[in-house]
Amino acid sequence: MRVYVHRFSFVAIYLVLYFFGASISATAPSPKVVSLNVCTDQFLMLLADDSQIISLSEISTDILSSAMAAEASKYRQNNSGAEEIYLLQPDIVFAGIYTAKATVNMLESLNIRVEKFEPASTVDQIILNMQRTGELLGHTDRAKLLITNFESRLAELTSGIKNKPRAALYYANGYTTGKNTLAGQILDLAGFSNIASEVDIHWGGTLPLELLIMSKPDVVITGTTYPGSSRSEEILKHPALKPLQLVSSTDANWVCGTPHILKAIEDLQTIHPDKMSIK
Amino acid sequence: MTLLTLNNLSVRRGQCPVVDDVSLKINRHELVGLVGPNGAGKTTLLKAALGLIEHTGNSSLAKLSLKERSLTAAWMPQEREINWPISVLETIKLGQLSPSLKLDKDKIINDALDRTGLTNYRERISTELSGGEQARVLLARALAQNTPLILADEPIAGLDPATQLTTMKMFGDLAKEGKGVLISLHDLNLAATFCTKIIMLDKGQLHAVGNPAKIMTDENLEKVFNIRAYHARTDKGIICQPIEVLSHSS
Amino acid sequence: MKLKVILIILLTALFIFSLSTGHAVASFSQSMTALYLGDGPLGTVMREIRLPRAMLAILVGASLGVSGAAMQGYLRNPLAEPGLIGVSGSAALGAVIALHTGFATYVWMGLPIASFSFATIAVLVLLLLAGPRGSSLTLILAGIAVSALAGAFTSLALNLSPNPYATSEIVFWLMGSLADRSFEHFWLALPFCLIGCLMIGSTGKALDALTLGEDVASSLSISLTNTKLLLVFGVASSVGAATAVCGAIGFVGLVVPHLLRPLVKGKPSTLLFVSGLGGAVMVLAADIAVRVILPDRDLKLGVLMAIIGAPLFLHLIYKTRSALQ
Repeated sequence: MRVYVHRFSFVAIYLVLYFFGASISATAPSPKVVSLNVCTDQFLMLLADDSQIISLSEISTDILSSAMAAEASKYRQNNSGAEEIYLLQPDIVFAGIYTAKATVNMLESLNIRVEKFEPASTVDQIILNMQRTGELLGHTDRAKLLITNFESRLAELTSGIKNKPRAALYYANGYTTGKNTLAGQILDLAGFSNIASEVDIHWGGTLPLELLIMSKPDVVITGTTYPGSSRSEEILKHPALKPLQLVSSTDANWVCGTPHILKAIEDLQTIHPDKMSIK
Repeated sequence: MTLLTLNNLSVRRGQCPVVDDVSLKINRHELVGLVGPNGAGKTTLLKAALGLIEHTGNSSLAKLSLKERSLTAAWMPQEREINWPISVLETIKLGQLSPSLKLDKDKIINDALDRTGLTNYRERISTELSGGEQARVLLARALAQNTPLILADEPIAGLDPATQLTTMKMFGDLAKEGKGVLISLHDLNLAATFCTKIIMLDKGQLHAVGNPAKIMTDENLEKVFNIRAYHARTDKGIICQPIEVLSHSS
Repeated sequence: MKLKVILIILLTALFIFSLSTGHAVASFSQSMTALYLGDGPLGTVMREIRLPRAMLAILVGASLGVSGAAMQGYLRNPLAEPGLIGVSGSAALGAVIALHTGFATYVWMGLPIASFSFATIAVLVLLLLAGPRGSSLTLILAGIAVSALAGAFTSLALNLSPNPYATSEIVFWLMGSLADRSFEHFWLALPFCLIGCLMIGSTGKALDALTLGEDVASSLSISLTNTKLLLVFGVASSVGAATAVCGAIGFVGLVVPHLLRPLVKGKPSTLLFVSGLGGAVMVLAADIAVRVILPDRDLKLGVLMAIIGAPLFLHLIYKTRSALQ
């Protein structure tokens, strides 16, 4: 009888410790994170300790998509496959809401916590994403500091704009983006008026070359083209665009809703009549 | 006057001599009938003489340039091809593709239409005509080429008796007017009646050359064709009608 | 000849219609004035966007029409057509390789040279496999083989490109489009198309003579070798250049000669010229249609051509099926 009691209490203590331990790790102060999305990659690099970053997405080192490609090279890359990620045993996985559903579902069914981030297309959303990242990582103070700096610099950049030149964003295949997109917001914050609104394009859409020419924008903003040639990008070299001022500006800084959009705005403002002399 | 000379003309297919060392002359005012069993090499001989296929030996026609040849000889092959639905007039006009500049093109073409009885067929579509009519159209085309020499491979094969007789008579008239006409044919009656000269070909070799009476003997017919024929002479022509295949193979 | 006059009038009318079709909202007289004066954004639109597009449509259409008539005349086969039998596809392959290896950028006229070369190879292969003595069946089969091979390699080349947009370009290359082409493209294609059409045009007499077969043609002083060379290089040059700037546009060379042949009483040499006019008319009309039917989407020309041409092709096969046996 004494033996049974002894064994029972041993088992009971073991079970209690197990669940206690499990609940502790669930709210561990320094969770280890794997990121599957180029934007969440950058949130991590901005706010996490080095030791918290297990792995970033493959695109994190692509200069054309990631604003922190250089910094990303010192971290491990993953190919966003569920198997690989599971074996890395992360505490949290950061993903975008559009990250491959199959992968995300698989990870969740394997009891891995996945935090899904919406791509930010307004300043408020950027701030929200930063705050949330800070909370998840246990670095709310860092996040607060980052946001404060961001807001003050943004206020500097958006002040003193009297006139808004008319600009068009033009990408491969004649694609343009309107005010409800991140690029559209950057344009707006930099002090330009987006002609996409004039043709009722508020999100993304094709702007026929003829309409672009007819709308007589003060400046046409394009981005760096990919290596190799493609017909989709040929339209950016069309002779009809010659009389217009063409500026290559959209780059990795425009892709994600992070404080790096400040660099994008600064770059654009080098051709803004009210702001260029300030440099 | 000699229009065509062949000297030691040979055509080999692999090791087989399809035409073996043939020498002959075609002169003006001659309607020459080229006869021989199937596979004797009649078509090959004609094509080699024109220079359309590889050969050894000499052909006065094959040596000419394309242009000179088109002004010297007209060729009517066995395959009566008309690939597109062109009008009769257009078909015949093809004879004047390489025009003889000195003469009146229209007159030549009208003559050709007249001779072949196709004057009312000008605007008809060639490919919509009957086999016999098409043969006449192609003959008119050859006439329109207005050459001293005409070579034809089985020009009367598959035509009805009236058309056959008319065509042979026309060849005869052309010969009388001064042309040299060399045709291959299987109908020994017509050959005997209309041709001024017969060339009998046997296994690629020249078996006999001469006028019909001299050439179309029982001996030759037996040796070359393995047949016996009924011979007769009427005021309209010579009859040389095959009536029996002989028992022993040749 | 009445037919030629009608076609020229039709061509002119469609040309003007094409110039007044587009996204920019402007009245007919405004457009034409802008075209003439060339000032302002409408002037830019007219001179740099609409005018080259219309001229290119004529150039490409004429090249394809003439080439189709020529191939049919030479092969004595109403089913022969550069798009169908893989010549356009091979030209597209040459163009893709030239563009993605930089050959088009670093060598003057590199683009049309490359598509011309590949088109030549295709024509030679086809003549080898299914030349004048080949039947319709052999021709179609050879065409399928060449088309499939060219298409597969084009897809491969595009997939290997470092550019992420390249893969989706296969649609442009296989279906063809005149959208957003500029005068650069026109001048690039013009010399090759012009020379090609002239070379083909010089074979008119030969094609007429070939109506009666090769031997008779030869006896009528036609040099078969010269004819073959002129045709091979002529077709490769005009189809090659047209495809290099607009992608492979099929069925023009099939439909146009077929429709016009009865109107010229079958004569191959006349058909060459009117097929050029007819091809230009057809491509212009189709290009106007794709802009009017679905203005917001870049509907590929090839789609419209296939809708018109494929049923006709099936009809032709049905009609000539006895010859296929």
